[in-house]
Amino acid sequence: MTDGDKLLIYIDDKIFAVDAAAVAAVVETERFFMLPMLQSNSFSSPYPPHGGGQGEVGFIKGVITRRGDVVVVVDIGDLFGSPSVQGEGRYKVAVLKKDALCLGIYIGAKGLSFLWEEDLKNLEFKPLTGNYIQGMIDPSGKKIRILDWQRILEETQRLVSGKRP
Amino acid sequence: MDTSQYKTLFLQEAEEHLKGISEELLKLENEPHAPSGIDNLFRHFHSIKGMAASMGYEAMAGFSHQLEDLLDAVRKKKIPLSQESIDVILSGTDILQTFTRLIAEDKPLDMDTSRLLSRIKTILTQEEPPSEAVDRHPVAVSFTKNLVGNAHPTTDAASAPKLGLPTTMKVDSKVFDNFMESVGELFTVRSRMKEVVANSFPVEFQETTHQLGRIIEDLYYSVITARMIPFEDLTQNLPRLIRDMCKKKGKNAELIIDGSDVKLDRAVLEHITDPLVHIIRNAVDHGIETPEERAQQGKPAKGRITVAIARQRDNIIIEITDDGRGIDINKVKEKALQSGIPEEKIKGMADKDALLLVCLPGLTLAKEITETSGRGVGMDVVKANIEAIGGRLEISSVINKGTKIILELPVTISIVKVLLVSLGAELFAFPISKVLKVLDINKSDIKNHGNKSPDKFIRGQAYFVYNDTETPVVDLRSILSVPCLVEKDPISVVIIDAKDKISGIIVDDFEGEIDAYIKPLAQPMTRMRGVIGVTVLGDGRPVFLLDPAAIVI
Repeated sequence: MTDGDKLLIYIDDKIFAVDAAAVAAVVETERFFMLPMLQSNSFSSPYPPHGGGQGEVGFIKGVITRRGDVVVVVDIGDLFGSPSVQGEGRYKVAVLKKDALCLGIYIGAKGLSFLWEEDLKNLEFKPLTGNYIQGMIDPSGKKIRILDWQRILEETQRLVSGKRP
Repeated sequence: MDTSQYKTLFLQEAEEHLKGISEELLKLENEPHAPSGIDNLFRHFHSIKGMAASMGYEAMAGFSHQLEDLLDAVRKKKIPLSQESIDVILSGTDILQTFTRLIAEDKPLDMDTSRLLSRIKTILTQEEPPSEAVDRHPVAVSFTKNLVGNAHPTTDAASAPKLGLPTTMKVDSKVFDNFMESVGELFTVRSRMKEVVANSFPVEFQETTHQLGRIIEDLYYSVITARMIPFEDLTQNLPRLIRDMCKKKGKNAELIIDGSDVKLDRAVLEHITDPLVHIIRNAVDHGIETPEERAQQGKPAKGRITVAIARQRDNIIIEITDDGRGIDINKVKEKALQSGIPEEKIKGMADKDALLLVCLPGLTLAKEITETSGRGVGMDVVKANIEAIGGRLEISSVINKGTKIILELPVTISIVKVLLVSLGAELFAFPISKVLKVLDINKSDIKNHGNKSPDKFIRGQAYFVYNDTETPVVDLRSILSVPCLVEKDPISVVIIDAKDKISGIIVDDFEGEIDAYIKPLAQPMTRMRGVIGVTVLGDGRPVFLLDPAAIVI
């Protein structure tokens, strides 16, 4: 699990990492578009409504477009109980892609940071189950959680289809 | 039967078989003792014969049959693979090539093949060869000579072999999907361009934009025509499906297909493949009775399942009818009640709405779970598949008379004329085919039944009078959990006709009509309720195409 370079995402005081190989692009955007999730009497989101932008539901920030494709963007801060505060300006989104699967991870306005494979080689990987985390590495006392982004995508799919987790 | 529509396909396939024959002859040159070579040649001639016969090209079929006989005799070692046999095969191939050319040119197939047929007859009447007596190598050398054009074998073919390219091509459907995507995006950009230039550009530029638009339209129709395939391509395996199911269930049913030449966009056919199979399986499994039961009902022993397809303007209507036992509507209601649907809701339902309860996930009327149905998994997926492409499903049924399921589908799901509406800074779209009218009405014209909360539009209670009829109205903002615009008056309402019900949807504003290339939703959005697809405008804004029926339900 420590194979390959990692893109680091800083949310509040937590650090997350995703495989850089899965990152198709990091795009900047000024706004997120609404993902139209129809509310009905029989459906209510299992997640609290987001306090941020219009149309945000649960940990979904909305959608962006990239080369004619629509990408759903999630805020992992919301997913892990550290909601990010969105001010004005341009924001970065890491677009993760594997075959037909695609998901945007909100990075915010912070700069990009990487952990290179050679730095990871000597680090111990502690596997963790559940909570969309594959495991953890601990370089110099910094706990870095490696995201299982495909599980986050599955959870996103459940949320947008109105199914309870 | 009119087979002219299959001519292109026939020529394409025949070309491939003739090419295969040439390849096999080349292989035989390298491996003269390989038995598979003769088998493969036999199969190619056999296929050409079958195809020609089914197309009504009797002369070609008869001629291929003679060549097939010759190869069969070689295959069964009744005659040797002599130089004479090879010459005849090659000459025969040339003649078949000429037949295909005449067919392509719509000319009569009146070729004199008697000389070659007589040579075949002579070879076939030869005595059986002594075992292992055939020296094939010299024969193989002459294949090459003939194939490269230095033909020396005597032939009565109408023409010597010529280099030529086929007039038809087999192309991977993905190529057309990519074409469609590019053309679709051009369409969307054109719509926005037209809008922009209408306001701020000189007439010359507007004319050029108009001309560009026409070219894009021509391109679109060419691509869409290439993607259209007859309904028959989908139904050709249905008779076998029914036969096999009937055999298992001890039933007897015939399938009648009406309108199989109607053409649909391949993307639509892909969406309805599974639903159609499921509906047919249900018809055999639950609809059609056993011959004994049918006799008791005074019905013919053989049940009848009809699949009728017809085009109605921009829609395709598919009706699947069986003359079986029908659906017990009271039983449906009972099951729906057990599954948690409120009794008052069920009581207030019209029969056609109550019958649609069979599409509830997990609801099944089957007494037993069978290999093919009865788990309550299926009709919900059928309905979802149909609605996912902006279609509609309707069920009618009469006990002991049968069931009719009607699927209303768009002919194509790629380019859709849509009405753009805004909600704050967001744009959404409705299919124009479902929009009756757009109008601005005074806020005070919207009432709630029972005079509750006059300042709010309560879902299920809000209405206004349209065409002298109380018409339910819903606010798109509340449906999408967006705070309502309290101050807006008058209010913009889209009048839609969904599920045979006229309703109004309140939006912030109307933003015009465009021809939009609608892409299917990708993961993780694939199962979003009430969203048919999405288009991306030239400026990068995504516009989701909403299903009005899901909004007003």
